[in-house]
Amino acid sequence: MTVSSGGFPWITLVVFLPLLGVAAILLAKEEMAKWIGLAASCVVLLASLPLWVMFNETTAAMQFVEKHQWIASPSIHYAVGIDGISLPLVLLTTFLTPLCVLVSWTSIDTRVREFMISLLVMETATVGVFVSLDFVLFYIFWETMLIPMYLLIGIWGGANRVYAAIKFFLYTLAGSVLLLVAIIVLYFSSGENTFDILTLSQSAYSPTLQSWLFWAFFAAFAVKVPMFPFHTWLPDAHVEAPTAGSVILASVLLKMGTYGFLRFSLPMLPDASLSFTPIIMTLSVIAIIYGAYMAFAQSDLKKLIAYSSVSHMGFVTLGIFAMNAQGIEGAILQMVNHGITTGGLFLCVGIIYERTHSREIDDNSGLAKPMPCYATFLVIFALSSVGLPGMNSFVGEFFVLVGTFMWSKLAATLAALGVILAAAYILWMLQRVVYGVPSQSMASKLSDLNPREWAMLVPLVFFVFWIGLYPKPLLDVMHASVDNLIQHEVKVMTVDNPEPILPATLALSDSLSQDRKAMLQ
Amino acid sequence: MDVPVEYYLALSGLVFLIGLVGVLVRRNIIIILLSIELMLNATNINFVAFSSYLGNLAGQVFVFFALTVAAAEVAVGLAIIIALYRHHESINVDDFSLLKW
Amino acid sequence: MMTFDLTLTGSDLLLLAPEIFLTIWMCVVLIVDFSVKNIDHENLAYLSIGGILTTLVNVIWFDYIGVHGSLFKDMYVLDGVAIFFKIIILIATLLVLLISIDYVKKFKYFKGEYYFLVMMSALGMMFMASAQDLLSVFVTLEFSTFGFYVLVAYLREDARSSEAGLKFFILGVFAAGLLAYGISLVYGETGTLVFSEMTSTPGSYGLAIGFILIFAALGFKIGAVPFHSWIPDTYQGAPTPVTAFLSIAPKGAALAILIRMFFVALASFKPMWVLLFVVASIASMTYGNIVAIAQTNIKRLLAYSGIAQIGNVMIGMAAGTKRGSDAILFYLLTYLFANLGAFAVVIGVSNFIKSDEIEDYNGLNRRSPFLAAAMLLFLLSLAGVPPLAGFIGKLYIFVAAMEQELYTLLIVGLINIVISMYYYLIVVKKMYINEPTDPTSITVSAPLKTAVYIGIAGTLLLGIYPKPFIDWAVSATLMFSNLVAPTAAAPVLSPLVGG
Repeated sequence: MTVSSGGFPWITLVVFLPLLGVAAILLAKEEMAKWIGLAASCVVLLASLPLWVMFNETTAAMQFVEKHQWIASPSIHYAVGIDGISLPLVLLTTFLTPLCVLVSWTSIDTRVREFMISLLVMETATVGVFVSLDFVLFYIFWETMLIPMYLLIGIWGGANRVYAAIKFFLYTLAGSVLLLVAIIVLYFSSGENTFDILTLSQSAYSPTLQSWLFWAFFAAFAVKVPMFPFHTWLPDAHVEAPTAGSVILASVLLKMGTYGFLRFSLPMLPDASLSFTPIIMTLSVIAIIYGAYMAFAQSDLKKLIAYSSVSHMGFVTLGIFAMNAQGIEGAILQMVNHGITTGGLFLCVGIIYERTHSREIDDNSGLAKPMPCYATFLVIFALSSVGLPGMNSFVGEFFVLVGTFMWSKLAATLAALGVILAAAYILWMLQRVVYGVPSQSMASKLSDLNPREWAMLVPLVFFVFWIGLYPKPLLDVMHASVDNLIQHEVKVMTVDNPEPILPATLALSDSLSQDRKAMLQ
Repeated sequence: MDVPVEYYLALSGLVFLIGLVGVLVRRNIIIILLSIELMLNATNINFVAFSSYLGNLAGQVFVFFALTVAAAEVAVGLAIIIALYRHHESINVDDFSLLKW
Repeated sequence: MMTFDLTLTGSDLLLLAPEIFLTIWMCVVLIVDFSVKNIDHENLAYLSIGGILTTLVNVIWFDYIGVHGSLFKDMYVLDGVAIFFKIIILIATLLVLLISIDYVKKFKYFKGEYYFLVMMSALGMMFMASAQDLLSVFVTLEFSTFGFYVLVAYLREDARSSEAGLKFFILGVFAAGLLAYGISLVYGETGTLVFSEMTSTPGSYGLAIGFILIFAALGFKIGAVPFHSWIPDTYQGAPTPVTAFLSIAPKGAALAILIRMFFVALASFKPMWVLLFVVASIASMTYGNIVAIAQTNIKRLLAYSGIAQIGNVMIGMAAGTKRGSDAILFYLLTYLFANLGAFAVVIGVSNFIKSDEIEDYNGLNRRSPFLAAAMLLFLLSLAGVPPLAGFIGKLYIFVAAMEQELYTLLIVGLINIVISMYYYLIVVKKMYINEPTDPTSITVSAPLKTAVYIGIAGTLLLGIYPKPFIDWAVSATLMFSNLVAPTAAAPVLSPLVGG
């Protein structure tokens, strides 16, 4: 079920171009590093545009597929391709990397060469994760990304960076070794002796095996998202990471977890996904409310945004496991939106941190007067984060809530409560930062945006409004793939497995499966 | 008269055990070295006994090699012990504690 | 009838050509050292390297044209496995000679003999790789170890080196005693010393005790728990190039014997010995990794990590299949480059700052970005992080274990990856995140740099393009495909899959 790319290896180009940049940085002088980094990431962005332009929206099949044997036994392939689910995420990654280079332009003044190398290796690894069609290849990219991230946090981070970096690393590594077990089990139990993701998605596995695999997958993906009980590494990592690290972390890395759910858990383990839906939904709702509640209590801007991420990613998992077209499309849209909005917010924090060297709200209050342009951008991103109609997040959250509502009215209501809480903590933050009483000691440092900072923020704002007002192009891209995914689930629900495997003990819903089936048919 | 092969086995087992316990219990390096020689000699008893019992020459060939190896071991071992004695003025293993053991 | 006849022809001896050449060559090195006055010892090193390279080319050529056969009533065999291990041993020797050059300059006496002894040990291990008979196992194992006894105690002025030598010696001969006694019992029960003639022996207590003693003796050589106690002290006290040599070559050679012994001679007793390896593997991985966390000396850290790595290798032994043996071979190859590379970096650093303490690696990235980056690669490969060689090696090992339903082993192995990551990360942290106390940059000599580059190349190549090497491992172990039939995966997994 694949469509050939018509020859030119576009994906390989996008995946490995950053490494070419790395080689150039290694050969050039240290002063040139950031220029090469910027050039490389921009070229990658340009190289990724053809993927979008030539993308065929009418098919759910993988496109631009390249497949070469890599190891004969066990059979592992270098297989890459994209569909409507991965394309938006690939573009998001290639789009954000140049911004990360820009935001680090002056704030990173030590070991610039290593910094740029880490960023570019990150880009290769994250794009690789989204395009892999072979499970081992996926795992390789998935793990590779840990090292540059570890170094990004560990070398250029804040005071407590080593603790945060090691915590981040070990948490995610512990999750992903279970994924490795699951991958090897799948290899043998599919009966095909293959790591090919598409083939594995076609095979049927026994319900018991599915539940084991589901939790192994869950361990890896939930840590990355992060879902509620596994989120504790995120605030630490965010607070300590340099701005570019936070942006990458929030905008791209977290998406790898939800992408994993979409690409693997749902298609490969439909029965288990279905039967554990109540648990996941419960955790998602808890994450939404808990994240928002914790965000309230923060006086550190980065921590506030970090907890708001936990809350927003709760919406994404909610949408995914609602398992209907609205929910999943909303979730994918929300993944992109969160990348743009939270990325924008972290950039804003980075900009003000460069001036005041503080992330405390109290130190950065009353910015509307001295920095009017900055304040405008901050307000835009903050309101987008709240989900104001006309801005990007509104569309995504609305879809997710509609999807959830079909699954369970209670869950949708509770999630909507999260939206209200978000409005409260974001507006309270805005009130203090933008309109508060300026702190005297900082006054002299507050200069408004320079052209470089304009260049970072304007593209993001453009997308905030574009997706907010006219999301159709983005939705069109994902329609076919999402429909295909839903079809797969429906087949499982109606034909293979009329009864849920496990009693849905943690059900939030009053009318669990009837509603859903009715919806889907 | 024929001595049953079990007797040889019992003897060699005993000699081997004495050697084994000696290595583990004694603290003087020379005694430890001698205990290891005992272990190797137990082996030789075994091989000769089995060789004659099985009517197979390979065992006796092995004995020659084992003797050679044992001799070489003693030569190397004594050299190392002398080198160490120059540092510590002692041949008691408890005195060698620069490394954590 | 007691008869013992031996026939040899010239073409038979051809099988021994690499060993014969190496024997002659190492004598040449020794003679040159004696007879040429005031010879620069660096030249002796290059002379030795030339000899090893020639031998390596010879072995690779034999592999290419498929020279196989056996000699001396099956005591010596040249087959795929033997060639594979010989190549590993020769590459290790080559790298060790490269990293020794600067180190040997520090010696006061006997610089030339050092190279002779390294080659002699290599020769012994090459014979070990070909041993297919318990007599040759015993003789070749002792032969190679003699060289090491002397090498470990080489720094006469350094009490720690002598002490390490003594500890290594006592435990080494003790292991030899166990080995010889075990062999005598096996001989008594089976009436033969040749592995291939033991396959149809009925089981008995004598045989079991004999093989357990042999397993213990080989366990000493590979440093598996509970036979590991000499490893950390010996590693720390020995001259670092010798430590590097010890950490891979004897392990490889002993594994060659273990594979032959268990996969050929004891193939029919597999259900019994699998447990032995499962227990030893779990103990080695867990103990090695947990104790490694507390180490402050990089050589001790690598010693304990080596114990853990051997635990990983024994997962492949426990699988006891063709795929298990493929995995072991490939894993050793990945371990060879990563481990020797790491030791090369350790030598590079210690030549300059005269210390092996991990504390002194603070800010290595500032002092020598090249060494720091290389060390990062090697440690990550040892930890099994993709896309480096170690990942493919571990993946392969785990696939072999999964095929045999060794879930416990698999889970323990994976938990251990996380534990090991922790202490490797601490070293990475010191190199990259901490600031150096002394910021002078570290210079690296050309031979050492070459060794590090070879390590990097191997680590990357085996990780990114492992196919030819896996194919090579698979074809080297073809002899095991009929001896140990892999149980089909489907029926065993059926409790999980079916229904």
